[in-house]
Amino acid sequence: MNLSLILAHLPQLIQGLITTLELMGVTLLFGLSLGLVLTVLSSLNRWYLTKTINAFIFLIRGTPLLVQLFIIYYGIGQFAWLRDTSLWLFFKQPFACAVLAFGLNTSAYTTELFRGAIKAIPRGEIEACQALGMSNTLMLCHIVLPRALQFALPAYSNEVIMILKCTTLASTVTLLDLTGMVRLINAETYASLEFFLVAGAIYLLLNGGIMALFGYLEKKLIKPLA
Amino acid sequence: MLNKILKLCGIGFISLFFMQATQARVIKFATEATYPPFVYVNNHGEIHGFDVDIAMAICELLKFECTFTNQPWDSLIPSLQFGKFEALIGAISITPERQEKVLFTEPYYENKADYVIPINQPSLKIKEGTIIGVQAGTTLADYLTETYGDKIKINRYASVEQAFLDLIATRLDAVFGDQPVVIHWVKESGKKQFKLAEHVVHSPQYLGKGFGIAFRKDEPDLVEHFDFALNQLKKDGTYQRIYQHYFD
Amino acid sequence: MIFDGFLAQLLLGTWITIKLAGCALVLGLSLGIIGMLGSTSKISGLRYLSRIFISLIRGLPELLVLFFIYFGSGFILTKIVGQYIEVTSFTAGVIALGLIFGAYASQTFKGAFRAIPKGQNEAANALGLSQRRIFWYILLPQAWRHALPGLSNLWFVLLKDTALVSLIGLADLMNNAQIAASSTQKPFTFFAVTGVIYLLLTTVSQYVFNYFIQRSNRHLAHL
Repeated sequence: MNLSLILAHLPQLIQGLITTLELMGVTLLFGLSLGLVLTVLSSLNRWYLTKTINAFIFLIRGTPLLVQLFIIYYGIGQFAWLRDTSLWLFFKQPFACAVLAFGLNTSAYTTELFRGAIKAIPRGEIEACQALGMSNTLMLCHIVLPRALQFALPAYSNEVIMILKCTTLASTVTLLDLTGMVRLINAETYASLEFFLVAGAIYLLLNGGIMALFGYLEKKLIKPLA
Repeated sequence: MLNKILKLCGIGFISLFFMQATQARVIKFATEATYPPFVYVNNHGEIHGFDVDIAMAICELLKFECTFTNQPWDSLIPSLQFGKFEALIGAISITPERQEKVLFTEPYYENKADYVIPINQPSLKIKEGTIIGVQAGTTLADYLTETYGDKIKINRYASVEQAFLDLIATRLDAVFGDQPVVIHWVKESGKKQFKLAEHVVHSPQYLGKGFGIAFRKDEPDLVEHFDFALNQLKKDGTYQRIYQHYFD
Repeated sequence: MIFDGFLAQLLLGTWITIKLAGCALVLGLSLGIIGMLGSTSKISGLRYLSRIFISLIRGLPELLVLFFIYFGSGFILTKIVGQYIEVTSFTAGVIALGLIFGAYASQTFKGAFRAIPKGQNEAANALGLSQRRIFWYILLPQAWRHALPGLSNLWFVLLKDTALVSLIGLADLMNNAQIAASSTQKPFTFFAVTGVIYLLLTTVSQYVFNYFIQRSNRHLAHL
């Protein structure tokens, strides 16, 4: 265990960690928002919306994330006519492509999660709302969303951990996240074990942090509702 | 009935595992075959290239049986050291850092590097913020880091071919690679949109003394055999023949 | 014409992917049962060790586990045994994916065994059957019914995770697609086709699992 070697590369590791956190943060924002939008659209019960959303989820869940990432990053670059449009300003950035791929991926799973949570709400509560003459929006805000949140929150913590694991793939498209940095240092120093262990420890710490955060959220948001 | 089917499948997969995981013991070369014309994979999955032909010629002379396996670049030296392979080949520059870990033959190729730029650019311009693509973990990447430092942005790719993909996609201002590799790419796939910057870099410090075949430190006799054979090939004209086939 | 002759390479890669997933599945199922037995064992030391190990593997990113096993295991094994042990990217892939599958599967099996009515175990004990026989002939066959849906989800994850093994050089579907994409400069074409192939693999798996899940529930009366 070469501690001095690890310390020498500490700035690089920290830089990698920052990139990982940035990726995670933006992906979470994008994926959660898109997931919520798709869930609401899906609940409107229009067949064309539901079918499209189901097809999207089927595609995402049926293919590896790596394939999705490469299609977005390398695949889009194949088309010369696309490169001449202003869309290219977005796709040119590896960070944007990575966030797009990770975000789309997590939004599909998130939508499934939320749909399941909404389905789990006892029918009786919905009927009670309708009997009381509540408007759809009122029902959504006061009963459906809070109840769904209650069911979804524990499961969503798993999804956030999934997002963290997804970020490790960013190094395949030139981004230097924590895993990418460790591979870089590994190529320079051939000291495989030390740095992979350090990276593993950091990921486990991040995991713990996420679980703790969700534990706190559950206490604050769920217990008062129970 | 179902139990029997499941047991058969289980046994089937376990046997497949052993068949796939065992390998015969010969002089096993490891290479990363993403570097035409030195080493590359053709569309039948076969590994070809200048380095492969030189190695085969040497093996024929020494009456060894040689096989070539495609492996990722990062894993080459570690795999050699752990004993997975007997030799490494494939545009590997002889550098002092690498010489601390492995033994090299005499160089079988003196290497220089060059840049590939868009054809409408008059010459290579390295300024603040230029983005250059290079293969990760290579001495080429080290040269760029040491020479230009933070002035430019260095994009590292698993293979130089991925770097070329990004060059076409205009994510890069230039690709930095070994001279024959970039010459070959511009000729075959440049599609008249890219050219060589003619900014040739000949730096023994980074690019090393040339390409060598790497062996473990405990195999000096293998190195001796290969050096002897390489000399023979140069004497009897086989080396020149192979060189002309790839580089003229 | 559109594939420039790389279609054969893609199909070959698909076969390697299937082999990899199959071998990892066999390893993963075995490890899952061992993990379940370990984490519910009466020996507290074994229990803690199993639970820590399982949490560790579930918490780490799959790519990191794969890299660690690929780069690290050769090193460790050589130190232990003294002479080198072959660890190809295929072997490393099977071990890594099998470990990950096993870690999650142990939880699935735990839940499945818990779902079996206690009466089964009591009756078997009353009849004087040995613990081993009770496990293999009474409990495990009944556990499959409860475990199958969970295990089928883990299989889909396994199938998709095989793509990661391309990053350590295994000539699987993803790796061959990358080579083809770079050679022909048609990344979209090849990665899109690769996606379709994975989609086919997962859809076929879905049908197979649905069949088995239906079959396992065939003795239940439909109300």
